[in-house]
Amino acid sequence: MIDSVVLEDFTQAIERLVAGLQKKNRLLNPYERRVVAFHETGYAPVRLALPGIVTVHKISIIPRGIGALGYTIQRPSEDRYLMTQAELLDKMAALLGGRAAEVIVFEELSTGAADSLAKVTNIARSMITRCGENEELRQVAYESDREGYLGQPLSHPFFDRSYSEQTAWQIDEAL
Amino acid sequence: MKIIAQAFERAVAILELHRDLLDETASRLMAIRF
Repeated sequence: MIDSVVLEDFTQAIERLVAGLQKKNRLLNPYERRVVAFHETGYAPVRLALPGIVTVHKISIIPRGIGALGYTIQRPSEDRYLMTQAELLDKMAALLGGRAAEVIVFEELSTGAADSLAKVTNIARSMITRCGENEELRQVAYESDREGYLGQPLSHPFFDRSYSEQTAWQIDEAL
Repeated sequence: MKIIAQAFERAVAILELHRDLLDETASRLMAIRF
């Protein structure tokens, strides 16, 4: 019988909401377990070495949810609504910590490193096409973040592109 | 250098500098039984 709620209960509730239910029956072989451990650990030193207000709260290699084999919880110490170019570059480096760790330790990448790469690519593309943070592409917003019903994109960027093939090539080159 | 490659190189450089911390923390994680 539990007669009080303690901090650990709140932490467990947050983790369950953020990452899903624990899947302790999802058994990883020793090599995969090692890859996940180094991948998740890789985020922390990068995050801690960079200036900023985000701290690493917890690293776990207990599988959770549908596909997560491990997770790292980072906590900002204050709310932020704007980010500078330098802060975005730091954020990208921190997100690539897991991939970097896999390359350093195993000299190859696993499929587990795909999610963070997608996030980084989105940040980089937004910096270039929405925020005008590339000198060669000038101060132009090539894309906007128009959203349709329930947050779905209004149309595919390929069919609704408002820039030339040459610019598309330059954007790809900048990424 | 391209923007993503630049961020990746930065992450690699930091981790190489803190390789001991990376190895030690990953080993501690792997040692946990659940």
